[in-house]
Amino acid sequence: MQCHTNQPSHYYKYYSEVLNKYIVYCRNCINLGRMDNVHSVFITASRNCVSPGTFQLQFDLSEQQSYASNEILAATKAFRSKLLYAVTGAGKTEMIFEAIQYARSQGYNVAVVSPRVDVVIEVSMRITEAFQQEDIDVLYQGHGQKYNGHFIVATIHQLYRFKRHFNLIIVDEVDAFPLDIDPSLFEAVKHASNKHCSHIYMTATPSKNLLQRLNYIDVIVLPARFHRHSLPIPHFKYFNLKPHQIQRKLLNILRKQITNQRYTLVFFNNIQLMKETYNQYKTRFKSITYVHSDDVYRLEKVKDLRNGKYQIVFTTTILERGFTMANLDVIVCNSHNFSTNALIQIAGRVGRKREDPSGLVLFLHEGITFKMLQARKNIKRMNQLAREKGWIDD
Amino acid sequence: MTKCIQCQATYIEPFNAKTFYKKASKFCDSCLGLWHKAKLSSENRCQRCLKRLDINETACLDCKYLASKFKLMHQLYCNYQYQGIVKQLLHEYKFMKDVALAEVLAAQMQLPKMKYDYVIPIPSSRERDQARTFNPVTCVLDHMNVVYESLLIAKVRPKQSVLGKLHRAELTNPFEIVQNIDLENKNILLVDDIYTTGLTVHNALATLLVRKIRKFDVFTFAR
Repeated sequence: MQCHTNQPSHYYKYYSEVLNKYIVYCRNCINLGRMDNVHSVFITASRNCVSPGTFQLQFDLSEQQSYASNEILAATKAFRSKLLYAVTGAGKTEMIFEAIQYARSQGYNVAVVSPRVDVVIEVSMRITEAFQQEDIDVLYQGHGQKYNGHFIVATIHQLYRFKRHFNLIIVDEVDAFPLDIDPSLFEAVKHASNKHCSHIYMTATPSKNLLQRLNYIDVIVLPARFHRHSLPIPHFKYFNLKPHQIQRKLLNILRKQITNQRYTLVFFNNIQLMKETYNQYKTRFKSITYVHSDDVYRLEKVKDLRNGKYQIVFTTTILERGFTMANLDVIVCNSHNFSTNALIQIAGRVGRKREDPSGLVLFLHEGITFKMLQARKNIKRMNQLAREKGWIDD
Repeated sequence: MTKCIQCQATYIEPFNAKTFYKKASKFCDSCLGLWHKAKLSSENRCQRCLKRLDINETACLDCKYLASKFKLMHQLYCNYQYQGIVKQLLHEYKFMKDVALAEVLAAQMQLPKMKYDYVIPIPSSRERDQARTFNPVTCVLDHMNVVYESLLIAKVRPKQSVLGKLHRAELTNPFEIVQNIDLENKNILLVDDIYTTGLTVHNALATLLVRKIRKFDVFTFAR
């Protein structure tokens, strides 16, 4: 099977009266086309081809970025694996360019993958812009292969289609859903790698589990953001959210945001709760909306938000990663129900642009939890580490 | 703890007076909710073919058109609209060939409670069944433990789903009767997967009418 599953429950067996025999197929990877015991599979041999791999970058790498870039390049040359533990907004994507250039110039096959579609879209835009002379296959939800798969940017599931093919695999946001709960996807990475292959994992919030799984490889810690400013520290405030009434406290905060001309994301951990709260506040503000993962207009709404159409957006955790915009503040409602990683990622949405390096991170809670403290401690520790290394200025 | 046959999530069905005399549910609450959303309500629809009528449309135009070419069926039975979860499942079932979903569909479908002499599935062409390795209609009927007669066969024809309404109307009747069963004065239920224009079932009906059947109903999985 293309997904290498060995769980019996993934297989389904039935008797085909048309063909008069039993047929077994795999339900785990059926979205990539059914694999069964009657239809033949065509396999194309893995080839390598050399291309120059030149890229253009509008700016110079920061001190930290070039340090990481060199480390990754060294790892690629030696076919070793690395975990890049870089804070949100460190400029991870730019750090891999040099390694990609080297890999392509040696004829290595390169894959940049992520479990999240939004991240794939965002990263693919930046990579295709930088590597304009390369034939890059961008594969996700119905975007097919155009070239020969020597350089792909894709969702991690697409790796099921490749066997022993890549010499450099870069996994962005390794701790994101569904990679965190589905370890078989790590198998996909393993099976897609050539005998000589280096894996680069990138994340801002490595879970304990992940660090254990990857304990054989080196971790590069990058505590500073590319614009040399510290990470915004979250503030805690007691607030008992009642979804069926307008609460002056929250209303005043949102009003202040609008007069300050800041964009605000308000995070919820429950779609129902979010909609109820939204219904209360929608009459008070003009440019307010909500998004969640089941929303059919999700992509349009996020696009409108980027274009500045909405000033206040109620959202679930779908916007916790891969969203960048200037003049952005975040408020987390019921922050006592969020995990440490989610809180760190959410706080990391703020101040990611050079022209606006800081902002408000407000956790509204009904009691401070250990997870909230852990998130704040983690952010502070990273800031301190960066100061020691001299990678940030304030 | 039970596993939902649709989403494989484990769930606990409450045990109380309401559920005590019921069969155990095979679905979790969220999947049931999705099915409920796709339910087909009969208000503001054509009595016969369940087409949704416009506000000022009194007689169903589809039925009127079909009546000009065929003798009409007696009644269409259908529980679900072809949208949302139903559309997604039928797509995965028919086109991605996920046969396991026949079980899911069978658990949700309910044949009309009338008594029929014969239940006849609408066939696909042999070539298509071979490519698919199964017949989507009979496979579900098997799982529902319904006794049926495969009375009809179909000649090769282009896929209905890629044709427009006009093209479909121009096609010749693709169905033939293969078995010699006495159909005179019998009640018949035809079963198909999706009802769109009604041309398929009426073509099949025209073929069967030669045998002087009495009553003729249609059941489809989705409309």
